[in-house]
Amino acid sequence: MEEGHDVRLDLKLDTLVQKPDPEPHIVLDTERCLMCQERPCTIVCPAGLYVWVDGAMTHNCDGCLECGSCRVVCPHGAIEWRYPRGGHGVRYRWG
Amino acid sequence: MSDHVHDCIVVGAGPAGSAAALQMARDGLDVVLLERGNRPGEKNVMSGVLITDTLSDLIPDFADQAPLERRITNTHTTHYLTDDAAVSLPTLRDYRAHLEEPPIFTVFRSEFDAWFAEQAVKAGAELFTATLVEDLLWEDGRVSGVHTVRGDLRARVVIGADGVNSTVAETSGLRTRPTPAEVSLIAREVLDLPASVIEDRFVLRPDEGVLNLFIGRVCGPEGRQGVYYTELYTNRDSLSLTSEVPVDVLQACGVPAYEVLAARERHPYIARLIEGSTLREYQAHLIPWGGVESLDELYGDGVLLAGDAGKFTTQDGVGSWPAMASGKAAARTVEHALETRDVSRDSLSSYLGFLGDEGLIETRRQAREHWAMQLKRRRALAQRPEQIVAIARRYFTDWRGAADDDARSLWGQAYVDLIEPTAPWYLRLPLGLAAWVDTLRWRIGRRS
Repeated sequence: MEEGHDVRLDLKLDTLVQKPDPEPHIVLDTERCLMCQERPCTIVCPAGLYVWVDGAMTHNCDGCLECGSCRVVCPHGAIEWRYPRGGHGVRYRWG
Repeated sequence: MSDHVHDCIVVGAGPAGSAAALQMARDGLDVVLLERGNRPGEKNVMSGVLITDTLSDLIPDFADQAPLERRITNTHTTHYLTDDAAVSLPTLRDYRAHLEEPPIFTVFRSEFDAWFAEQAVKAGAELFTATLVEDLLWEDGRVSGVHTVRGDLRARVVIGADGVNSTVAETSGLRTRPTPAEVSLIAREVLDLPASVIEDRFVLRPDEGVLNLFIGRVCGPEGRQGVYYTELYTNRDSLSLTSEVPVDVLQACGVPAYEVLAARERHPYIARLIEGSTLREYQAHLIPWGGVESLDELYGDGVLLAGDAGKFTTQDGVGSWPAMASGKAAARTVEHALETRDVSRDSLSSYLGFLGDEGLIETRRQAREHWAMQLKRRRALAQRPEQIVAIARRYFTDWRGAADDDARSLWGQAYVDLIEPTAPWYLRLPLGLAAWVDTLRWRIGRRS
């Protein structure tokens, strides 16, 4: 099956309640990202928050589902990852 | 927070943490339960069903109090999928009133975990929500407490029940971060559908539910592939559709989890099962369903790991029951260590014995074997759905036209499709002979 159909991820993410942590809980060493050929974070992030734009990695902490996939796959240790502070981040109502 | 030394700090108010806290609080220990969400369950995603073996041990009348959705009445109904077909394997729907096994339920963790933690609190545990553990405290080379934004807390033993990305496991040095092959990513959609439609569509009475497992192939560019598991569960007035794919498979196939899920939604069979539903919530969660490591990593000086933090899952990826069982075993271990006034790693190794009592050592062994097999035969397993559909098509639809002389009996065809490509020679030899004889007899019977 062709897996590459357009998925309206924005509509899926719109169903979520979030309380963003003003202090970003994921810090990216974008210098290291420049060396990265595979960029697995752009594939595995279930919220599509890692985007390769014009030769640089961009990332947005808001909308994070806190699964930790990105830190598991990052081959260059470029992702400094922790959970948002207590009470912040995603709030699943139907988890 | 003060200099007071608690008996135990449990990090994470999920099924493992709350089970541990409940057990210890009942036995009179001074227990603190910490949860990073505003409410227990807020950060969790149920990717399967709740198996209630340990829950019914801990709270025999849980079915009267707990927020449950539907009681599962079927065995795992397995469907093999290709793009345009589904082969459904036989299933048992068991309606006996008094089943010997404890029942299985669909639940929402946002409701269930809150209720379960409340039981621990009622038993005397102290719960702090919205409290993230950022680091561990150490004293004489052993873990002596936790550091949170709200202050430091001290305890004789710390139980890490803080999930697959366990801060306790990684900062205590018991484990490093998992590799992509050791974890699977759950993507899940909760789909609104009226209860009456669910009951008609799945042939259910109001409190009954079913679960369906779909197995198919994840395809990426350049022929890269792997197996995916999709599950569809009935809640009271919603369906849960999940996909569970090992992270290294997502990575190798180059396909995001939400696209795997979207492809499943478009499958003609699943599309009909979820027709008319609307998306209530989209979720993702990582589970330790993958390679299983040694038992050494489960305990250290003043620290134990339970639930997903200790990578307790069955070979089928069931995590909530092993979580509760390991929480209970961890509680017993702490009680034993406090009685003997020794919380060293040596003393806490009694955890293995208590885990054994809960059947978890055996569960872990089975899971390890399962994953060793999966990793070795990933390519062959990815072919399986297509092979099974091909056999079913041949046998159930093409047999009328099977006048050609090469047609084989069911067994003969199954041998060629399934056994010959993967089995070792010493199995191929006798089974091949049996398949050949069976086909011969079948052809003779067809002619006469």
